[in-house]
Amino acid sequence: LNPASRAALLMVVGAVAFSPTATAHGGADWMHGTLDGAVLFFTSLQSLLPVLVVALLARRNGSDRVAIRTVVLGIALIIGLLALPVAGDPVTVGLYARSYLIALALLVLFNLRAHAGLVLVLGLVTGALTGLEFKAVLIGDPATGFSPAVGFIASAICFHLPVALIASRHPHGWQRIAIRVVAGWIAAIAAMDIAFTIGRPG
Amino acid sequence: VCALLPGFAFGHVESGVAGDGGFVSGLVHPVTGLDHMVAMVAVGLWGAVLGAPAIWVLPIAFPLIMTVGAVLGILDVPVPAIDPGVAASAIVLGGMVAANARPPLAIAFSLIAFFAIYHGHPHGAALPDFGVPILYAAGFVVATGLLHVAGIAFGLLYRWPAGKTAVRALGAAIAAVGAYFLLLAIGSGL
Repeated sequence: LNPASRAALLMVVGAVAFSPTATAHGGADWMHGTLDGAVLFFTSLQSLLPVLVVALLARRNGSDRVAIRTVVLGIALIIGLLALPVAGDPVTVGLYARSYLIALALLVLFNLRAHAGLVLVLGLVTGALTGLEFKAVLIGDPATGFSPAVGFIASAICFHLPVALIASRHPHGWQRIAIRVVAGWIAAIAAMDIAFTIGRPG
Repeated sequence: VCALLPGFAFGHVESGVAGDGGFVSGLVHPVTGLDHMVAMVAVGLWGAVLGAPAIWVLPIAFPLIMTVGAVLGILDVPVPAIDPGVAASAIVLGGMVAANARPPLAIAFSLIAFFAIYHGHPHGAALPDFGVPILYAAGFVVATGLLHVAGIAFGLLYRWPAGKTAVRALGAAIAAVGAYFLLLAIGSGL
């Protein structure tokens, strides 16, 4: 390691070692809410996988409209979280969301080129369904207000944009295959989740 | 610094992740049964021997069709001789590698699909005790995929003469493990 690398490594280790002292500081509820929402997006496969797959759709649709698609996804999340009424219990919404995820993943797996307008609609539906599924978790706590939803949407946008841009840059052969393998596995995960959720007693 | 770091492990709540039926439970499950495990390695191994596109089509197809088997199990659709079927999958897939068999992709796919049903059915019929279904499913699929990748990684040795012998020997070993489990299944009255 050169001196700069050693210094960087020491800084990282030091920061990690002493980070628990951050818990000594109480933060405002809204701040915790925003962070909780931001972290929730990345720690919940129910939100991460649909946004990942809809970003991978850019692989066959170029980078021209990635920014527009990201904005549409964000708006759809707002619609799902705030505007739409909850259609049934979260488990039922989750089953619909997972069925839709399978269809999306198969679109990527079979390397199908969708019309640009259709990709926008798919992003809209993805955002709305994801928002609906997380509505009960993110909205409703008077202490934090809408801040968890803000963090959640910010994470979705920050995740979608770079992944879609990378996927749209016509990657090498093995990368294209990796995208299709990931899509296939995501379809399997979604199908297995549906099967386990339906089959689980109670 | 090393003495400071272990304390962070206590900062993480294990709910939905570790031994309560979450991701790690799903991740561990495929490697707890030797007959299942060697068959999944054989899928990757055979894919590597067959080359593109089988090298990536088979590892995608297996988990997807295994899900169909799980659904059949949940719906109580009977599939005959599950344990012998799983053992037979190791025998056939390992035997294909050992025999250097190179059938058309459609036939390889059909064989994989047939055996994937046998591997998925028990998981649906006897649902595991999991906390978060999607985490368990993700762990299960990732572990299955990684076993395929392990098979592919070993199978890449096939391009060298000595590697070809090693790959075929591994295929024969997998078939032998399958034969052992088949005998066990027959001995226990299926």
